[in-house]
Amino acid sequence: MRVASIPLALCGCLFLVGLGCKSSGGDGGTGGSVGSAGTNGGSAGTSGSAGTSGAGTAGTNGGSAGTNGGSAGTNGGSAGTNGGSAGTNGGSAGTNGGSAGTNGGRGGTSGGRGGSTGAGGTGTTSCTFTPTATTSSKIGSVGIVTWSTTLSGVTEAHIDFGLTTSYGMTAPVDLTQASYRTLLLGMKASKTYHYRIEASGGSSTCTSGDYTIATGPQPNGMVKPMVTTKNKSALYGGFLITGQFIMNVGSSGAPAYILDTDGDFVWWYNDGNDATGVRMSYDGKYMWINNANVVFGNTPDSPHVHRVTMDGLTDTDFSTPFAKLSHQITPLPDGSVAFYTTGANGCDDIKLFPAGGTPTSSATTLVNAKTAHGGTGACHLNNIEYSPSDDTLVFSDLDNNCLTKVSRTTGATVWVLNGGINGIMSSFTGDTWLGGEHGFHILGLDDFVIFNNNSGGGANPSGGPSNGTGKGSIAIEMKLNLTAKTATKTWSYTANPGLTVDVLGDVQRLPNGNTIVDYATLGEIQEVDASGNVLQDLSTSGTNFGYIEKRATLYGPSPR
Amino acid sequence: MKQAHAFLFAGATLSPLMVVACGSSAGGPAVTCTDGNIIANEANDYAFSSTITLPPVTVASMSNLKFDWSQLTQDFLGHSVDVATDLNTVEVMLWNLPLAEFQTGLNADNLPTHDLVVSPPPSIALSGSATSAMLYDFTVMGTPIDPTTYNAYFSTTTHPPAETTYLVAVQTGANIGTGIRMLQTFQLDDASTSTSVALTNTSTMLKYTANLHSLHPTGVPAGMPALMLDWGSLDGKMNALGGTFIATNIVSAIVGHYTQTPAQLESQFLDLELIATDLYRADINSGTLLDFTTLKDAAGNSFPGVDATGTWLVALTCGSCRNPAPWYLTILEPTPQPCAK
Repeated sequence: MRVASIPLALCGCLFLVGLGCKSSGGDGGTGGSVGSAGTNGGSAGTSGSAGTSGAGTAGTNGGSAGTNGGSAGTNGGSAGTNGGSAGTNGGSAGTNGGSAGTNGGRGGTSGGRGGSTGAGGTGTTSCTFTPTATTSSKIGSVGIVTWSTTLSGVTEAHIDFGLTTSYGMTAPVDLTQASYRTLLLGMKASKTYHYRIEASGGSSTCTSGDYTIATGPQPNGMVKPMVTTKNKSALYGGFLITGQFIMNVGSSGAPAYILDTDGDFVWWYNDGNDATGVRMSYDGKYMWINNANVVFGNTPDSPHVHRVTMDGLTDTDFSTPFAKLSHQITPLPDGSVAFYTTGANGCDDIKLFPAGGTPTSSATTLVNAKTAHGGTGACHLNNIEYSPSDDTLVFSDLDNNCLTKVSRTTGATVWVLNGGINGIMSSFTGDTWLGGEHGFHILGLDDFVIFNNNSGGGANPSGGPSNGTGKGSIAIEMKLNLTAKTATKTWSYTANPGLTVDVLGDVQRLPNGNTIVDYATLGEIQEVDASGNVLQDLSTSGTNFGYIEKRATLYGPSPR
Repeated sequence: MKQAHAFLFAGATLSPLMVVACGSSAGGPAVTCTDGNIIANEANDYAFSSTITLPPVTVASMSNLKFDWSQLTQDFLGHSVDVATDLNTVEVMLWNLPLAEFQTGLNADNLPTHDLVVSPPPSIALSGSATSAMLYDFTVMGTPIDPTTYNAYFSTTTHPPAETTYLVAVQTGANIGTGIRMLQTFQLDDASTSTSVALTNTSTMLKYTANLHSLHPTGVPAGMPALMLDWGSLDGKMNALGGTFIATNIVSAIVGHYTQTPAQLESQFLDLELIATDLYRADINSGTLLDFTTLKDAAGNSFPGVDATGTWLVALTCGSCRNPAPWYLTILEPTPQPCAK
């Protein structure tokens, strides 16, 4: 147990000079003794009443004001007349606390109280933390911290953690969790991490001392991709969520995993199958993991959909309601899940698994892809994403070379982008792409980055269109003019030498303008800048990647 | 050659175990005496090297090739194969590498996935006792491929022979690239009229050397089952195959007892799992420590400790590696205790 420092502790009323603490006047007191500067004080109060007629002896030699504190309260009471000048007994505000108000010492209606002995000092008397930290028995890099504090009325808390006492990562605390149970996500295996807890209640904030937690080892046999970093300072950083597509997964499956910016494993879970789709739930509490399960002809339907708590301790098998699932799923903000299944008419169905659903719940069909885009041929969907700003779903159809946007509530078609084959008419004129596509990232209502497979040479072993050049898959950005109904290709990137992926592929634009391009089945992922310079390359030997999601933090909603 | 091993050795059973007839201390390298707490050391490790050669056959381009394995009776490790019952999957691979370069990469365990042109490769699941399959019947994850598409990939125009390696593989199990029993490479020639690719016992030729005579045996207390082996100190050093020893890549341990001498075991190295009189295994889920009390044989019996009969071997195998040859293998010998200072 460590004692937290809390300067303006308990509402700062311990300090005579604290602005904004109302109290009635009193007799003049004895000047306070010297207090040392406090640390980590809370915010200064506001609207303190001016005291009058204070008669107490002014305290002297108060500690100097803390630095970086909250600003002094406004409207602090002016020093009482006759009262001693502002007592400074309380040691001034702590380093992170509100700065001591000058001239604001409450005088007190009946003579400013000189104040009692200052409590400032180091400000360590008012709040304590009692944490307990372990690591998950399933995922040794996941820390589990439970804690309590003497601070009452906690309204916000978080845990800073990192390899040094500079921390660098922050885990928000869900105050509804028993014992404030909090997961530390993003830590490397077999390392010692530092952490501290910070909690706020009312106008006070407590910060614990520094604690450490040792992470456990990663499972043997996990092979880190070969990481080639060419410009580290230009990387977005953060975490890459992915898994292993079907090749060489072996009979015991392959893990879904998260890599940090160094390419080190920070999370892993093997549900016994391939891990083609790996996405965190919108609330960040779960990882959804699904296999490829391409159902075609006599290929048996063998969906494998698991929802795993981020600590890896609870694995719920949702395979049954995801029958005939294909490729990938997208968790939505309300807890429902959008996905697509092999349909009876040769075209896939768009489906929704309900929020709060259980393994025995049923998914509902929103719309059949053929109905949505009006195609006359077969379909093969391979990606679905959610557009929160207009509550729509956008899906990619490899066979028909197009993206289609539909209403999430009605399934009504909003628009079709690209196409041009099998009777599919694009809603837009202008630029197009050829050779199929897989993953894409919605940047807005009118902006998308798309992984264009560019399969060509009259051949596409995935069965999609082969009218591309076959000379390297392309990450393209398409901007739409929703009024003029035009599409414009504003950016593209092709690896050099070209990497043509016919099966799978994904892309995501990062907040700093970089783009991460996933040549999935070729076992290659590149982060490139806006000019197409490769900043980092991840490559595998004998394995490959599934779909990807890059996140700055492992807490909170998905960035895509 | 990770990919290489993946396709060559993956799934093959090559295990490590042998028996030293009676103490290698007699005239051989000195025994490293321990009290049963063994620290793995390069001086105690064996050495292994192998070379795979893949002689190609020439066939016509842009044609519905027939792949025939009816004559196959042995896999590339020399173990018997029953084509009617042992084979479950056939796959065809197209590598964007010249054959010589492919072989070099294979032998060096350095074949990046991105050089595999179609990934995952076209495959076909075998039903019944089929001993041949036609190219146009292969699918990619169950999706049929039309002949036009196949012809585009099996074209000397789009994939010049000098820059390309084709191969067909038959394997046990359904996980593509795992459990390969035989490989046959082929090259396309527009002038060829042959459309058949046969997998035979000589389609893949493996040569290897295993050196057990230069290692320093590890002395342990006789009859003591509670031995411990820690290989953490080998991390970053050289493994028995000449590559980097990554300690966390070890996923299993095997202890075997043999009637053969180490010299005899060198020549029977690919059969170590088959000829052991006793064989104990343990999974290594994490860490770098083997507790010998966790070793069990197929009947669930625990490892009893070593005695002075035959040869005892302990081996550590890499889970993600395609070459199943152990990264660490040494001889265990009963040694009087306490060890001499």
